Amino acid sequence: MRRLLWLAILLALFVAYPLAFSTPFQQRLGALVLLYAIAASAWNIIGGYAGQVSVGHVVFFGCGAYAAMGAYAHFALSPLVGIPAGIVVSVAISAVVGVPTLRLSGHYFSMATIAVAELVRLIVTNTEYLGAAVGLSGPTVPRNVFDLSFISALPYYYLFLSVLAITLGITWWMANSRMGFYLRAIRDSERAARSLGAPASRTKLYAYMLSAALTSVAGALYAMMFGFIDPESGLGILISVKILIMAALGGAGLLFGPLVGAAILVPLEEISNNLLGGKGAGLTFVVYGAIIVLISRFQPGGILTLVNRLWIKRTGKVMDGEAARGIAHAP
Amino acid sequence: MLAVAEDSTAAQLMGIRPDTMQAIAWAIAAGATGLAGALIATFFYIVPTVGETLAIVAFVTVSLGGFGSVPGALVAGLLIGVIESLSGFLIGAVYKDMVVYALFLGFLWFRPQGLMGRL
Repeated sequence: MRRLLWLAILLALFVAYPLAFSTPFQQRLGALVLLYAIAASAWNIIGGYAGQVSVGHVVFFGCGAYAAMGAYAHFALSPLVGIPAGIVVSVAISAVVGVPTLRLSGHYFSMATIAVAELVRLIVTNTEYLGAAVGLSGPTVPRNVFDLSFISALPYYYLFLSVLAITLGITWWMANSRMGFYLRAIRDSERAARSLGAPASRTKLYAYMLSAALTSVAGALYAMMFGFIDPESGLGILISVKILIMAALGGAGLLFGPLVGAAILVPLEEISNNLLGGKGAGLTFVVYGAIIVLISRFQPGGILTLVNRLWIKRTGKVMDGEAARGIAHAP
Repeated sequence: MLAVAEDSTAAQLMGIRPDTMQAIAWAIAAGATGLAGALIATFFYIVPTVGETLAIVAFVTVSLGGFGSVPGALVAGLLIGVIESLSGFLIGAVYKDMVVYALFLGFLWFRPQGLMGRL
């Protein structure tokens, strides 16, 4: 009951944010935080709950983005039509990568995800149909509301908020289902989980597919908001790193971890870009590098785990079941 | 070093320092890569981001050869070098990395432990 109350307060804060901070910059910032929170939450399913670090998640992001823009550029349809197509392609790619590599332990999965991300980026860069190095553009002038092409960031903010709520809902439901228990068991000790009869490879594959589908939706939303996609912004390996760090900073394997991470890193990036202008774009990645080192050295569980520990120390009781159960693992 | 990789707690109980071992491994790897970089710079273009592609190709080479296998890495390195050059010549320069990655993914399906690795 107490938990529902906190959840309602959190939701109310998010709904009220663009009304309280109404400059275009602040609204756009809010929308971006939510967008990256969607992508990082999707990554969290395979990277956090299942403990399989995917470094090539951008490939699903790109699939969604290219599907949405392709639906407009080639068939003059609403970018929304591209979302299911993007999901189908993403799930297919995740199966191709996941089936052989998720049977193995060790680095194979991470390696294969990097390889597939680079492969797809190179293919897209050389395919004329997908805009090659120039990329694809969305509708310049919206024909109707289904083109989802708005000048203000406000509609995007509420759209992303609802998608994020759905994503977190799916994650929560998954974490509390049989699959969630399997995944936690596999993450802690795959051998033990297997010997107790948990179908390890299959469960990891399902988690990977689910994560791919949700990431693809995030990619499609990104493309709709910016109205443009090219190999660098849609398939660059740095986007994978960004998604990964957001989840790890907030707390991988915790429901709200990615949201916390995104709420810290996205404003940091936008503000540093703003202050330093064009020269500062690279500085963001210096900060990211520093954050990776600091997290892995001092707090592998992420910020939420730290907060939870301090809370336990102060009050002598556990804050909530979710945080306590999912004491996160460093990716 | 192998004991630490297998089980660092057990190695610690046997009187091996995992941190030192990992630091030594890391140092050897960094030194060897630096040497490779100095050698490649004599005939390759150099930009600040040149390492990104090379690092990924190095990953692919090691997993193709099998993790922890020295002859595997050697054979895979030669193989990848030849495949890359040949496909660059026969199919087209832009496709040479693509061929390598695609072969790597196909390879994982049939022999996931690499050429000479053990699972």
